Amino acid sequence: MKFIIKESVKKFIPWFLPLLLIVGWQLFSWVGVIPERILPAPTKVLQAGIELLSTGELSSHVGISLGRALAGFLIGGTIGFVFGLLNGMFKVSDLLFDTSIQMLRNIPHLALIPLVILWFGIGETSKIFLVALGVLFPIYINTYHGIRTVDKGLVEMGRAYGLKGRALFFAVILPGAMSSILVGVRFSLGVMWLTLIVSETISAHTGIGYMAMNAREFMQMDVIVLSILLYALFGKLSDMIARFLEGKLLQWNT
Amino acid sequence: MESNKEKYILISDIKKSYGERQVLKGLDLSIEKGEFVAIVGKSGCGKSTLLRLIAGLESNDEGSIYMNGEPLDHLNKYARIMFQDGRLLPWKRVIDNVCLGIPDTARVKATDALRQVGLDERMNDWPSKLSGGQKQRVALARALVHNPSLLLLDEPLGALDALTRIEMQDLIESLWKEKKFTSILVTHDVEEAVAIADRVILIEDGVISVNQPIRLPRPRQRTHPAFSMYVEEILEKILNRKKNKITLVKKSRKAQV
Repeated sequence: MKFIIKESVKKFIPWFLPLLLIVGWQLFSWVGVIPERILPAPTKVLQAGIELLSTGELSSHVGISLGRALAGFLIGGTIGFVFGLLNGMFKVSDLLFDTSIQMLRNIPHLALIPLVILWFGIGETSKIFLVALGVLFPIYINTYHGIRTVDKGLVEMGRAYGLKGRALFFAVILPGAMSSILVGVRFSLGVMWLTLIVSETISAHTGIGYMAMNAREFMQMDVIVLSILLYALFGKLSDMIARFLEGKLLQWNT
Repeated sequence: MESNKEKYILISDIKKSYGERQVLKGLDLSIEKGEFVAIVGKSGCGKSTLLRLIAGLESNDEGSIYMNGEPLDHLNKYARIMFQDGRLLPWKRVIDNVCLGIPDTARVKATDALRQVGLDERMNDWPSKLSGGQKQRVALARALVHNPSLLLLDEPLGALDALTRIEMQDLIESLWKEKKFTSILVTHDVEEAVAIADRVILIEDGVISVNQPIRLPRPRQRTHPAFSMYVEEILEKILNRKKNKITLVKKSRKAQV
């Protein structure tokens, strides 16, 4: 027997479990199995969301968090990418930098939080610095690995057909390394959120993490749960971005 | 020296080692302009190495290679090489693979080259959608679009099935006749060599041991008695030692009887 699943149904299936969870949660809250001070009902969370949205508080916190994530990702990603390229392609640069980068990589970047607070305070710089630091290494390693494992036969062919320098890089080396680079991007998007959440929760006066910590002081369970759900949504969003990039840049691989 | 300068390719006393192993041990070879030369030999005999030296992809330890009267250094600008594994860029569509290394304005030439190998309809496909034979035809188009005066073929048909091979051999032969380039084909298939080349060269122990002009009219008939004679003769030479052993065994058996 063969099941034929319609396109429209296919799109719904991944959302089935989350939806079931929310419906169940709502039902149990109504019945009173889940007490409100442990976990507020989804409707309460939604209500809190609408309320914060109407005061403009929510969008400002979300905007600030997204801004930090993006800035950190761009800075760290660019540094990791550039070093990955250089060390992957040039022996001198590889010898000079790779050992040091590998040593730094093994320090958990979140362990630097106390130091970072002393250096930069609890303002924007410290968060962006931590995100950039966390994002840098996955991008570096995967770019480096991607460049190093580009098919030597294709590079030789490119040279034999008159390509060199920039042309060789853009026609052969970069596309050859692209699937590995995107693995790095996908991984670092995860690190980006994780770092941001931790650093915002520990020390901040704005952002989603701050919103949750602040709500804890006033026992606003609904706001705390709202922040957690927001992170889940953003996680899904970055996964979608990664998939979009893969679909665009690795079209030939399907 | 004067006569040497007329040779299109002049290779004298080249030696090439990989680590401890010397692959080419003082090999001499000269090739005329427009000639089709096939190089055969057992695997590991150095035939591909010789081709890569002529392409300028590797450098020889000793000896010299003259190309059009000039010493060859670095890449051979007259030559385009076709590899056994095709080496199409999987992330470029067929047409963009053919356009590799030529200016964007010459796209028309790429379409022409694809038409010549009969694949102009597939120009917007990804290489992964093509069969092995089609990939090699794209690789051939990519080489031809540069109008090379020397086409180097490094066992390009080695991985293809028998029927596709014969088709490709005919295609290469007809393009060679039309465009009048010089061609060097490395192959392990003696029949292929005899079918397509003006001259078959056998490399053994790092030197040329047979240098056999094939005097057969084109297009060549594989059923022609002289054709099988050439094939037989060269094969016998390659398998020389083995054959001796077999005859020895036979003799000793006879002796027992």
